[in-house]
Amino acid sequence: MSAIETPKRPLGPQGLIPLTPERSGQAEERFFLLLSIFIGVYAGLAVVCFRTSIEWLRLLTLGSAPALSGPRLIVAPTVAGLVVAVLVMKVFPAVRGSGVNQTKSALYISNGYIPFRTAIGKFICSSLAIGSGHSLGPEDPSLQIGATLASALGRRLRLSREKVRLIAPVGAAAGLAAAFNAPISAVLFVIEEVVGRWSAGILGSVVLSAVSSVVVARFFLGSQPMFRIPTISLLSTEELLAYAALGVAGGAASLLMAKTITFLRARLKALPRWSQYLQPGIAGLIIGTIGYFGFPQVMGAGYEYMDQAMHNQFTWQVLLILAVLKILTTTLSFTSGTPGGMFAPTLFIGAMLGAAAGGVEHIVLPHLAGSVGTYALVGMGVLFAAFLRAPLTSVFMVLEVSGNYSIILPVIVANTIAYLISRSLQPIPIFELLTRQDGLVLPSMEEERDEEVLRVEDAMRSYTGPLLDVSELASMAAERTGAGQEAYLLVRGAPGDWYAVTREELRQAKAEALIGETLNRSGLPILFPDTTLEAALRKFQGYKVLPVVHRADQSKLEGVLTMDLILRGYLKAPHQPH
Amino acid sequence: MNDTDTFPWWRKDASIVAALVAMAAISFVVTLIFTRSYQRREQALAERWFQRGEAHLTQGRPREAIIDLRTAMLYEPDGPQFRLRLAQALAANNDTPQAIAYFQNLWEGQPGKGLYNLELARLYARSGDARKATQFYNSAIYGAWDENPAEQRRRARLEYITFLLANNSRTQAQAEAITLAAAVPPTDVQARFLAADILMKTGEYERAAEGYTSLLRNDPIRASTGAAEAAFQLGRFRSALNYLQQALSKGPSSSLQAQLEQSKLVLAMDPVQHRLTAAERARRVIEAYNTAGKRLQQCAAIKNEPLMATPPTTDMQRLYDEWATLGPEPNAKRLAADPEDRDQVMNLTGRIEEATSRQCGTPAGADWALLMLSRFGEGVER
Repeated sequence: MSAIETPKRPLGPQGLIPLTPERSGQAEERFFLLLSIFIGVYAGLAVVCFRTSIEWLRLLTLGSAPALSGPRLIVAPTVAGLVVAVLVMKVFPAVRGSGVNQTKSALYISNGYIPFRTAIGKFICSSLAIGSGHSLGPEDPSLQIGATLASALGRRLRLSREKVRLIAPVGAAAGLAAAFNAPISAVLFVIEEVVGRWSAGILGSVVLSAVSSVVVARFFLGSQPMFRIPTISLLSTEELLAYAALGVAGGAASLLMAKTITFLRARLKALPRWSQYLQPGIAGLIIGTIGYFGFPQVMGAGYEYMDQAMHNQFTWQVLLILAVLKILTTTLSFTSGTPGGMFAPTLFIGAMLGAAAGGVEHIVLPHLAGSVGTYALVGMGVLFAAFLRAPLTSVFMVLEVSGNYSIILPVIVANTIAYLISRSLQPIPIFELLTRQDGLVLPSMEEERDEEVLRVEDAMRSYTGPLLDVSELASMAAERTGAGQEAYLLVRGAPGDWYAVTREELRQAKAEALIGETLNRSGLPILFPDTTLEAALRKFQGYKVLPVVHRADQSKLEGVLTMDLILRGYLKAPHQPH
Repeated sequence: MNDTDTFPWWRKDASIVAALVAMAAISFVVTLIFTRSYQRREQALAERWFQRGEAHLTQGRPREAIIDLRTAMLYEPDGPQFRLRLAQALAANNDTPQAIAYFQNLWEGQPGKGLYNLELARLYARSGDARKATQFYNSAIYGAWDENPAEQRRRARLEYITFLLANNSRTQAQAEAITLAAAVPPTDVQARFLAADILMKTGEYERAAEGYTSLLRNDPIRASTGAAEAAFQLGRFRSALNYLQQALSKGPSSSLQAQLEQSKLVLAMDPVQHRLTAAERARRVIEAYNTAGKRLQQCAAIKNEPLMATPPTTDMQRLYDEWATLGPEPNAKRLAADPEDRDQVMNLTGRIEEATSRQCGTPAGADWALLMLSRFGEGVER
């Protein structure tokens, strides 16, 4: 097989430039890094156009006044919902949902293949839906648009199957980074939720693409942060109790949202196919009616209202109502099959909940509560950790958005509590639940993180045979072969040099000849007790038994490992639920 | 050695990279056109909302202006005048904390700008933070102004003086008023009037009088009115009379007329005016004695305080006792002959008018004239 594998299935039209097949593995690595920068640029440009389209459509459908009002609040999302439904049903069936799961599906099911029309469909349908007031966000679609562009480019350039599979997350990170204006969070999210593993090969590319896309996005959209960051203050360590309370509230809210979405989505999916033409329109009608009757803040992504919540411009009662209504409207928009993301609504709910908690604590415990803006920021991270189940990303996202390290303690406390509540009451993360509803089984990154890793010490056994030193082999071999039940006898050379001889070899060969033979053999691969069984398995190439030695003293034998022992180790390990 | 090793990777892939660069360039241009087109639309919207905000501000509807200007800023956050006008609208709407926040933000960008300092001074003055208000007023006075800096600084100082007066810092206000007057160019008549006016307000009547009299040739009516007021305040009733007559010759004015009558009355009741006969001096003293006595009795009646008491315990009782000792009416011949007796009576009438004005409020008519004669004493021009 050549160094560059050709895809087993046709991955798209043939490349125009037939240079890539001759590219060596190392050259491809370098080329891949360069390509990551281009992917970042393309994804950045696409996201800039996407964001601009949303804003433009918002102006066209809902008007330019900030205080949304009038019948257009009802008409716009309803009509847009109906149009989007037709587009999704007839032209772009793959653009339903947020885009995160679709990208994961591409990675794990289709070898990184995402049809290019997905990007076009996602662009049109999501911008129409979000722009007209559906309660969805642009981040997850940006992630999918980036992944689709990268996938198309990888296929066009006829990269190896492995690289085509990797290129989609690279594009996803670029898309998300440009949408969030936060490269670190985007990289972490893609690693944490899409790829699921840290490796130097993917990390370099993901970082390069994320950074280049953010540079492009900032060139066009400006480098100002998403929100006007308020004064961040932590009055005392006792205030952490207040943030712990926010963590509990966030955990409960995320649970409510996840349960509502999975319940309603399953019911709506079960309805007849014709009803799917109406569902986004009906969702739009309800959302528009909520907006018309006094709460237009829940329409669209709602960044300006998150900003206002951070600056204490709502009472805690209004904030609480907005949080509840946003859960309802996002559930309606998302479960109706309207394409759009859940990141922005999650942040919205978190900000409202956080600011409300801050407001209440200002009344109840005025000596404990810092600025409401700090609570809103922490609240955003709380919902992100609990609902999207990306705890690491949630912490870094708040740090990146706020640009303030002093917020880290409350963020960690509140996020951890919310995450633990959500995990214990809803063990399966929302993204996994959604893929299962779609009949797909994708690897759960959270479960993979939690999976118990089996190590050599879990499978090895102690060595009962004679332990022979090379120097004494000649004189002692014959008399000691009878002891123990071992088929192979271990011979110890210099520290780290181990050999094995069979009883038969010992019996038949002359001692001097045996020494010569043994020393001429290449030594056995050695194992340590904490080596993973998976890594140990790779060393069993032509060997029946391997010594397990002490890390500090490699001449000290801890035990032995055989293929049979590895198998027994796996069989007796606790069952991992899937 | 194969081809891969012979040629560096970038030479083999150069055409691909060139194609990628070309594609990026095309995409960049398309995105640029698209976003610029949207930005133009945003700018047009921003301008439209800004004009609405300006109109509302002009109409004195700051609440509506705030919404309009906020919308304008939504579409063009860096609009040159948007933030300033929004801050001014917030200030006009008495939303002081937010207005301070906006102006503070602007001030941080240009801490030496006079306008921002002045607006912050006004806001802090309104919120009762005199220390910060003073700090920003001073920065405004010595700050940078884009147009007509001398005039702007003068206005800022003028406002500062008004602030000081409102905060009972008369001495500091006088010092600022003197500085303001000293900095006025002699050719700027309006500014000189302004300086004289502010000197009047701060109680620097002497300098104000000088200022007004120096302006008599430039604007006789305004200057003589100001000079009359200054002379009146200084107790120079003869000068006041002259200036008031001058001012009234150009047109009637009820307030000036009233001051004219008051000045005439003071001069008519003054027993030490020049060129009076001894009998007339005595008559004026007796009239003063009787007027003061009546005032004392009326005031006691208002206060329900008996004037006759042995021994007298209150101020008014003591004054009445003294007054009665001189009476029932001082002898005219004695008064005409002996200036010491005359001064004793006039001193008593003065003390009675001072005491009763404290107890029963500022008097009018002849009592007021006696009060003025008592207060200004030798200052009354004779």
